[in-house]
Amino acid sequence: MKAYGKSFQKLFILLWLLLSILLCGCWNYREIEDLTIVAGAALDKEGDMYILTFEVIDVAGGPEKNHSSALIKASGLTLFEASRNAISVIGNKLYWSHAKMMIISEDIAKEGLVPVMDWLARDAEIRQTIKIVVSKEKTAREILEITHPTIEVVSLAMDQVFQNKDSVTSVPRVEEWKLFQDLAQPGVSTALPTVYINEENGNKRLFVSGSAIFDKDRLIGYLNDEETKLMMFVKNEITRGLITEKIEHNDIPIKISLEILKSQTEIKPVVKDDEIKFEIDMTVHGNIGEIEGYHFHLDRKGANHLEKHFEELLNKNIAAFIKTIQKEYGVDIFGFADALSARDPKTWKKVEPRWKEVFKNVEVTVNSEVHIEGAAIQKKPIRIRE
Amino acid sequence: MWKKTNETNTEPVEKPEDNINTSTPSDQDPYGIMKPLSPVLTENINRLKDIFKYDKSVIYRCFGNRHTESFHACIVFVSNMADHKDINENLIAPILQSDLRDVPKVEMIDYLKTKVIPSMDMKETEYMDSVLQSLFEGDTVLFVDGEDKALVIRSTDYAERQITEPEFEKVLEGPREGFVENLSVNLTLIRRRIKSPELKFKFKEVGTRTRTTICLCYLENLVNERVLNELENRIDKIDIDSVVGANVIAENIVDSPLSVFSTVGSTERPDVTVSKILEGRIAILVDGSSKVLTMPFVFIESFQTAEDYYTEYYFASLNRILRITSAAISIAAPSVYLALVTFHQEMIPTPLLLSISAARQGVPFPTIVEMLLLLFAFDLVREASARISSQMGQSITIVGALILGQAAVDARFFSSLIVIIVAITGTTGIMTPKLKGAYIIIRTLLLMLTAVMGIYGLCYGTFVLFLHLFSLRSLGVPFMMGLGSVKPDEIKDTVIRTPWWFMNTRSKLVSGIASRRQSMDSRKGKMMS
Repeated sequence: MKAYGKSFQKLFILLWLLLSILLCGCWNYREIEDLTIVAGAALDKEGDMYILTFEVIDVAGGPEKNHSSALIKASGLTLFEASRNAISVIGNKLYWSHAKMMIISEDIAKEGLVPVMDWLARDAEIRQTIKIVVSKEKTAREILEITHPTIEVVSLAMDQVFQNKDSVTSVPRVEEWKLFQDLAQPGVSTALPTVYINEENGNKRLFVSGSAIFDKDRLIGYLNDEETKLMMFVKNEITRGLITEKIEHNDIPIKISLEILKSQTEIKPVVKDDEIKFEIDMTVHGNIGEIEGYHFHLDRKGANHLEKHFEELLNKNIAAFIKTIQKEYGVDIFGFADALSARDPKTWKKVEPRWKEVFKNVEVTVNSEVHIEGAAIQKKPIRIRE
Repeated sequence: MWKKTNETNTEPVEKPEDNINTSTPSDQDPYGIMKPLSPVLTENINRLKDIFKYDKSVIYRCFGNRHTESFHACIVFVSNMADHKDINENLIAPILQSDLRDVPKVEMIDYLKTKVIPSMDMKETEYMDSVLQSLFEGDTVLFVDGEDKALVIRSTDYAERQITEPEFEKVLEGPREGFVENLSVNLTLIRRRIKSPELKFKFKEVGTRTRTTICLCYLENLVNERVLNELENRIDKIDIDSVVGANVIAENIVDSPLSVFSTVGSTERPDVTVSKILEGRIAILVDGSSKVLTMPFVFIESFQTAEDYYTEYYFASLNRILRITSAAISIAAPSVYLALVTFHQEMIPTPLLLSISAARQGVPFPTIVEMLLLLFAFDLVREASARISSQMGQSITIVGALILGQAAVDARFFSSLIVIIVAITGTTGIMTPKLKGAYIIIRTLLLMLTAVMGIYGLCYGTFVLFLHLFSLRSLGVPFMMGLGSVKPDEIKDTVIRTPWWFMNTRSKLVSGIASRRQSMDSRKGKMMS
C-alpha cells in the first residue's frame, strides 16, 4: 500500500465506499404515510383460485383517533398474484413487514401447507416471525370479521393473545421459520395452533385454543387444550402455564393449580436388539398458585405428597395420550424420530423407511419429576371461625 | 488589497534594526517612525504632533526648571490611559523643583533617571517606534532638549473590566474568577496559582498594525520541548497585520485549518488554564482577549468541564458520559429517525410505526424537507436569542415554543414526532457548547447522506467522520489520543474521571514524559483505608 502513496489510499477508500453501496439490498425512499400496513391475512381457496383477505391498518384518522382496520379481498391463481391484485383495490403496494398473523383455512391445511408456504418463504418483506394459525371455521376470512372488545385490529389482538397465552395454558406458538424447520426435518410432524369463533351474547369473539396436528404438511386432526399441553410437555416446549388437578385429601376433594416455572423434557431412545423404546424424562418446577380449601395448610411433607401426586398424574396422562396418538393417527408429532436420529443415527438409518410402522408400536415410558418450589403464601390461610 | 499594504507597510516594521540606519523611502514609512529621535526637542514634538494630527487625546506638556533657564523638557501621554495624579506628583513636580543647574545636557536623561524621578519602572529609548508603542500602552514619554533619546515612565492606568465569572463556563462549585482583557491581570491570575519557578512566561508580538502582545505560558519540566518549538515556530510564522482576538491566533496555528473541529482549546477560566498547564500543555494568552488558548488539545477535552474536578468523581463521570452520549444523539438523532421512517420501516416497533404514520397524515412535506426546515427553524431561534437582551429572549422563547411547537403541529405543518426529535437534537447540542458548530454541519451532512441511502448513508457518514477525527493532530499529538493503542494510564481522565489519588501519572501523549503527580505509596494508603 505504501508504495502507491496517499492519494491512492484515499481513492481506494472512496472506491470501496462507493462500490459497497451497490452491495446493499432493496432500499428506496418511501414516506411512511404512503404505506398500507398489513396486520394480518387470511388464506382461503375457491376452486383453483386463492382468495387472500388482508387486514390493513387504517391510520387516516390522524393521531387523535384509534387505529381501525379494513379488510381487502383479492384473488389470484397464485398467492403472489393475489397480493399484487390487491393494489388495484387499495392503490398502494401493501407493506408486509409488520404483518403478525397468517390464518390458513382448514381446506388448505388438509390439502397441504407447502404450496402456500412457498410465497411466504420467498417474499422479502414478510417476516420469518409471522405467526401461522389454522382456522377451525369454514373460511379463514371469518376470523378477521369478528370484533374484539378493546383492540380494533383483529390481527394485533390475536398477536397479543399469543404473547400472553403461555402464562395461562399452552398453545403452540408457531412462527414461519419454525414451521419450515419442522417440515424440513425428517420424521418430524408439526402442530399449528387453532382459532375459532365463540358466540357470546350475540357478539362474535375470537378464541385461540388447541392445536391442529399434521402428517408432514397435511392436516390430520385436532387436539384440545389439555392434549396440546401434554404434547408440548413431550416436545419440551412448555415455558409457563398451569397444571390444574382435583385431589382427595382426607376424603375432601380439593382443586389445586400448579404454576409451572420451568419444565425440561428429554426424550431418550433405548435400543436393545433391534427393539426401540423411548424414555421421557421430565423435570417440572412449579409454585402452588391456588389451593381451593381454606383449611389446607401446605408444609414440606404435604408438598412432597403433592409432588408425588402430580408426578403420577403426568406420567399417567402423557403415557395415555401418546398411546392414543399412536393408535388413532399413527403420526410422530412428538419428535421421537428426531431424538433417535440425533442419539443413534445408525439405528435411525435402519428404521427410517418404515418409521411410521415402528412408531405405531413403540413402547414409551414416562418418568416425571415435579418440584414444588413454594406455596406462594403471603398470609395465613383463610380460616372461618365458628 | 490588504496583502499589498501588508507587504509595503509591515516589512520594515518586522525587522526594525535592519532598516534603522538605511534611508527608508517615505512611502514605506509614511510616519517616519523608523527614524531615530532628534536631539532637538521641538523637532521630536513636532514629529509627534504630525503623527497625531487632530488627536486631542494626546497631551503635550512642556516645562522647564525653576533653577535653570537652559532646561527644556516635554512630556507626552495619552489622556485617560495614564494616571494623571501620578504624572503630576511624581514626574512633573520633581523635575520642576530639583536643581538641574550643574547637570550637563548630554547626561540629563541619566541624571533624571537616577536621581530625580521617583518611578519604579522606566526605560530609555532612541526610536520614535518604541515611543509610540509606549504611548499606546499608557506610559508617559519624557523628552529633554539636547538628548537624542527619550525616557519612558510607567504610568499605565486605564479603565478595565472587573474579574467576573465567565458567562459560558459557569460552575456551581469551584472558583468564580474569569480572565479579563488585560494580559498582565491574566498573568497574575495564573502566577498566583502556580508558585513555582518552573512556570515560564514567554512574550511575543503578533500583528504588524495592532502589535498585540501574546504570552506563552508553560511549566518548563513538564512541557514537551518538541511541541513548544513547533508552537513557537507557527506563531512566528503568523503574518497578519491585526489580532483582534485569541481566535485569530487559534485559526492561524491549527494543524488542519479546514476541519470543523478546532484542535485548539480555549477557556476563560484561570483554574482550567492552570490545570492544563499542569498537564504539560501550553497556554497562549492574547492581550485584549479574555479567551486563553491551550495546546495540544485532544477531542475528549471538549467534554470536560471545570466542575468535573470540583464535584465527586462518580457524579462527574456520570455527567461526562451524559455529555458524550448527547453528542452522539445531537449528531445522529435526526438521521436515525429519517432512516427509520423513510427507508427501514420494518425496524420500528409496530405501535410506534402506527403512531408515526398517523401523525404524518396530511403533513405536506416529505420527511427530509420537514426535518431540514425544523432544524433550520431551531437554529434561527438559537441564533436570534443568542445576541439579544434577556427581556427580549423571553418573547423569542414564546414564539419558538408556541409557534414552532404547538401551532405548527396543530396546523399539520409538521408532524409531532419530528418536533420531539428536533427538540432532543437541540437540547443535547447545547450540552457541549464548544462543539455546537461542528454538530450542525455534521448533522446536516449526515442527514443528506441518509436521505439518499438510508441507514447505509448514515453508516458511511459516521465512518468518514471517524476517519477524519482520527487523522486530526494538535501540534502533532493525535486528536483522538491514538485510541486503540492507548495505555490505561492515558485514559484515567477521559470518559470517566477517576479520583485524584488514582491519577498518579500525567498523559505521556501530551507532555512527552509520563511524570508523576504523586507517589504510588500515597495512593496505596488511600486504597487500603
